[in-house]
Amino acid sequence: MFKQNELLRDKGMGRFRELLMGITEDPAMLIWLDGAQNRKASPNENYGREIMEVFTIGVGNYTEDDVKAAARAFTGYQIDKSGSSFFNPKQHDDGTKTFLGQTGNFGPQDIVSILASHPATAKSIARKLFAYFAYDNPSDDTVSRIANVYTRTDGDIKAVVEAILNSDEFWSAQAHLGLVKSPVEYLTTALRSLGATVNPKAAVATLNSMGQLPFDPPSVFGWPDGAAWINTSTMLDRYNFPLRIQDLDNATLAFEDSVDTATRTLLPEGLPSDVLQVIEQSTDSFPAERQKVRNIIRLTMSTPYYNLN
Amino acid sequence: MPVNVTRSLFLRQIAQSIGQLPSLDPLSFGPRILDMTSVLPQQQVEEMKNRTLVVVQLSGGNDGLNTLVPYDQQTYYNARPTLALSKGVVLPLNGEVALHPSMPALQALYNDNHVAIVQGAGYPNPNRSHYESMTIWQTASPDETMQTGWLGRYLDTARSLDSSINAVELDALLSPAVVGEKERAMAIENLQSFRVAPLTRQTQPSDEATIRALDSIQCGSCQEYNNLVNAMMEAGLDAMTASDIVREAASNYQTLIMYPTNDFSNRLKLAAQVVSSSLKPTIVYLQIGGFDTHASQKNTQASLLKTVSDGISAFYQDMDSKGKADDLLIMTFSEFGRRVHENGSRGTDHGTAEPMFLIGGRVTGGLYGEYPDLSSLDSNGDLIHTVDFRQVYASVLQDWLGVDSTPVLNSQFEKLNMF
Repeated sequence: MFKQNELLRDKGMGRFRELLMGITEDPAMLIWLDGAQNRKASPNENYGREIMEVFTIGVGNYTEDDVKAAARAFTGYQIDKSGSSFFNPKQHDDGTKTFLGQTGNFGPQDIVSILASHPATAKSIARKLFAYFAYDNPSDDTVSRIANVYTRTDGDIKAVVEAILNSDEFWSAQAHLGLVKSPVEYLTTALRSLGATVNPKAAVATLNSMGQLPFDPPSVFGWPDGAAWINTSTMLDRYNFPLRIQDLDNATLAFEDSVDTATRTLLPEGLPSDVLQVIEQSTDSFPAERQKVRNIIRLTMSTPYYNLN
Repeated sequence: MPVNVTRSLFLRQIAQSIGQLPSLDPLSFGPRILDMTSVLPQQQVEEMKNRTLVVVQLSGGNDGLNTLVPYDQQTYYNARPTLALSKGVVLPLNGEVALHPSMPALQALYNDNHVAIVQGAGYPNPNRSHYESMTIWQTASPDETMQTGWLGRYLDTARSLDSSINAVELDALLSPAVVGEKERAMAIENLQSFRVAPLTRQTQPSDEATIRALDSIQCGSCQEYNNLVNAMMEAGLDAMTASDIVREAASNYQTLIMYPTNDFSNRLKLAAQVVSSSLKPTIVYLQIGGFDTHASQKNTQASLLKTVSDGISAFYQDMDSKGKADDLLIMTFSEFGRRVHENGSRGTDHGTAEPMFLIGGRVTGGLYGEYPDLSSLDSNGDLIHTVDFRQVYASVLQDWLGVDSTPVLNSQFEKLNMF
């Protein structure tokens, strides 16, 4: 899983084709979706199906025959004792396959190329990235416009993200507070903006309790998002985690000016005045400076303004 | 604005503002009455108010053949050269089927007529992907993708009639099963962290009051925002109210029953505390994982089934000792059973039909549905189901929870008469 994380960081802003090829050869993926058991004599359809259903064109754009053809083309990957993947030509089916209307002796690279340049992939990547950065369920027009950037740039993920961040929709009212900070985002943005730390064990316990233990996703589909992060248990986790933050020296400095300034270390755009007032009043009731700082941080991190983006 | 360290009336103001929060006072978690008066006699409606359905999800695909063992069939022994359980060790329920040897606790409940076993539960065109098939069981929709779970849709229906109906999942994140269009279950991961922790030892009430106040302010301005803000606010307020209720119930809770010491039993004990609280949840949902036994199945499954059987038995006895067994129904399911023939790694691969267990004081014990025919398998070598799992859901919704199952399941299913 560590190797997969490095792969995502390395290729995440490059061409989608290369990222998809990297994932196809990734040892963790070969284990999870049985790619390492996919042999010429007994093809395993797991990855052949999921690469279309989940990672690229989506349900409705392929047939069971396409799944079988893809599975045959992906035969031959194995994992050695060190945990690295390699391609064993003896286990690869190099016969002719017909895949999504094209025929040839397709191997992994061919299938990945056909999928990466498929118009349905352009749309699904556009939709997923838009939902990640702006809001869920964008309009078809928006998706088409972003998908055109994908197609025009031959699947350049960075260009697609730039197009999203520069879109009118990204700056619209609908995109305001349209995303829930995932547990990892919730925790890391706090520590970074406060210049603070947390005991690693406490961080792991909190993330586990909030349902997002790094390197341990529930399935190859990754973690859920949006409203799935919100429930009675995780909200209490969000109210309580700030008590575990350590080394609040920087935050204490900001606090000396005003509560408003202090909250802005976490939320640069500031809080509405009525919310700020509640925080100020509550802070007054704590006698010690350290408690005041802690209370401001805790309450700021308990507002939806902090927990949503 | 500089911080004013002298203001001290804050607590009182917050206390006042809490008094103004709508309908979240613990006392409002009162009796739950469904509008079933037109369908059921009054006495039955009254009885249904206190009922709880506890759903136990066995994640990974439990091997049904070695759970409810067809021990008089040679076909079973032929298909499983290393995994078959011999006639001498299984726990017979009759001359045809027996329980796994690590389930004597469940056998005892069965002998007391408290266990209904649906022998071959499944659905048409079975899906063998963990994720897909689990989603099918959770949404009760094999044919089309649905965004809501079957218990979520139950909550949508039931709460529209009685807003004090509660549901709780004992986990960090909610299963899709308990998420509806408008309504969703509360989540309780563990009792220790299910509270607003005090900043200092003395400040618990004011800490909580402040966060409640923040939430009430959010409520004021949330109209201009979106359903994420609303969901967050509602979850936060529900959490604080439920935390008070459940923690108080837990501190008063006593039992003479010895629960086994493992995570699953800890959750069942928490279930007992939650059910005993004035939250009175109609639904409790929890899961236990590890059933995906592709290799070396024997010991793994034996240990898991022991955990399930002993845990459920302790939970049942605990509730029984409090006079609540008649208001309790526990239902187990898994996303699929496993292949009839064992594989080359002393394990079994993903299969189809499976037994479901329904345990409770009011259950009419016994076997329901036919055992799937071991000599007539589908093209993948898997069992063909004999009961659609939605028939079980329909029975539970209609006869246990007292709601019309058709709108919840989007279709009418023939019930099994288990109560």
